Amino acid sequence: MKIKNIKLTHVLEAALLPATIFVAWFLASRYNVLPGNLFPSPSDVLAGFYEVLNDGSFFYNLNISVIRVLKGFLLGSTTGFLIGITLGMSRFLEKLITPIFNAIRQVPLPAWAPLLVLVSLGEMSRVLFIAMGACYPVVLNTFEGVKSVRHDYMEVGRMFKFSKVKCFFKIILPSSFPATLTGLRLSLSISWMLVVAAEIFMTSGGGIGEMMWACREFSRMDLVVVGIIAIAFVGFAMNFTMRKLERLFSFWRITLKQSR
Amino acid sequence: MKSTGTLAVKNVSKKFKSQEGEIHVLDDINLSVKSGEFITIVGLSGCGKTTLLRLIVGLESDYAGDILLDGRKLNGPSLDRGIVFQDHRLFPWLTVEKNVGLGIVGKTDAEKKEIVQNHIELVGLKGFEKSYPYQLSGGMSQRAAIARSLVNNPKILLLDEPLGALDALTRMYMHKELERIWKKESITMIMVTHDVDEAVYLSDKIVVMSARPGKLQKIIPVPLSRPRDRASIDFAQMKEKVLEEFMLHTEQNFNYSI
Repeated sequence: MKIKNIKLTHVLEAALLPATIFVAWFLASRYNVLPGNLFPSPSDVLAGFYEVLNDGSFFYNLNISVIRVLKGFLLGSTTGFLIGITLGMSRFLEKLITPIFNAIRQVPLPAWAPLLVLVSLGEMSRVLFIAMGACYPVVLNTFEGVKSVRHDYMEVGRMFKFSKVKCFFKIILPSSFPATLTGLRLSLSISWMLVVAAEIFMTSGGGIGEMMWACREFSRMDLVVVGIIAIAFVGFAMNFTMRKLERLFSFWRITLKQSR
Repeated sequence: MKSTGTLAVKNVSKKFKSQEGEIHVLDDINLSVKSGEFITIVGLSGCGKTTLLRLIVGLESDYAGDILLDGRKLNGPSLDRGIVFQDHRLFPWLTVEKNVGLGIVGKTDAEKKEIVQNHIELVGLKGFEKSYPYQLSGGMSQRAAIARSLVNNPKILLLDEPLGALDALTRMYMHKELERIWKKESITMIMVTHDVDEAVYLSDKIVVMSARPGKLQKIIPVPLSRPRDRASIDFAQMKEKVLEEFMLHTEQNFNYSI
């Protein structure tokens, strides 16, 4: 019972600020503080939401975006994981690849858009765009995770005459996995942010970003706000799920932190 | 002849290279350990006792002299030597059971399960098989670490201040347990410590080391019968004898007046 109460207060606390903003927004529109022709009122947004819900375009586009993000995220994070492990395991490759990786990392993603369009005019370019952004945090976190495996644990492996493969699967991988998961969480939330950019830079594949961009052209600001809220909501849900996963798989590390 | 865990350390010296030049850690160490003996190496911090242990176990190489196990020269770590580290070094992502079974090689799953269970029972951790290291106390963690180090039936078990971080009462309890395990497994044990009481309670021989460079100062046999009585006069005198080596003894002991 107590636990339930605590959870309820948590939810209430978390909802306090959004509710306040909503009320302020409502009042500002109601008493014409906001320029009504430019900034939609809550009722405009609700009506707009109802409209796109009814003609099916909302879920059609949201679905496209979510699938696109998952594709980009899977491609980027898998690649990132492999690169991170490789850089962490081989000092030679670390020296060889890290400088160029750090240089590439500094290039803002939209700058790649023209090149990506050369690769493919279709879905592939958008997925690659997301994958590139999704890759970086997984590389960095996995690399750090591998590098910070305790030397002490490796000595235990040496005592038991572990092979290199066994050392990797029994010590390095489990020990660095919590860091990788942190990378994956960051990666997923970056992917979700990038999908809108991908859909704006490389259009005509549908998606929530493209829908918003089109609505802007038609001055349908109410639908732009619908898009913003939907993006925030899905992003929140993704982050929440990843946090749960992170806790689940790195229980031993989180507990260590708490006990300190 | 069956190999049984006799150890010979002959003229062993070890230097570490640092930026300021060479540091002489061990200087001409000679030591022989009989099969089934319990040896403790006592010395101040920095006297090289842990280094000596790491040489014997094979984690450090590049030394002068010879270390022979059952007459054969050592070559890196091997399963016939186990070690219990000062910090238990259990893998925090594995249960006690999985940690203990970590080093078992060349056994079927059923055999493995049995070995793990036997060793968990040997160290008195029955019922904690599924616990994670963070759920264990310091003493329990070291028990698990001892179990883990014994699964391959090593001939020699090396212990690097395994009880150093425990509270005094738990430590005394662990002394009894360690003695029991040592007897049951009839294994050679070499333990590094700076606790003289611990050394006298457990050892057949106490090796006193002096520092910078680490030298063997004296080997003191402990001829007391087991189990040893901490309250006995013999025990106290033995302790004084060891403390004398560190200039820490009381000048007039056992002045009885009626």
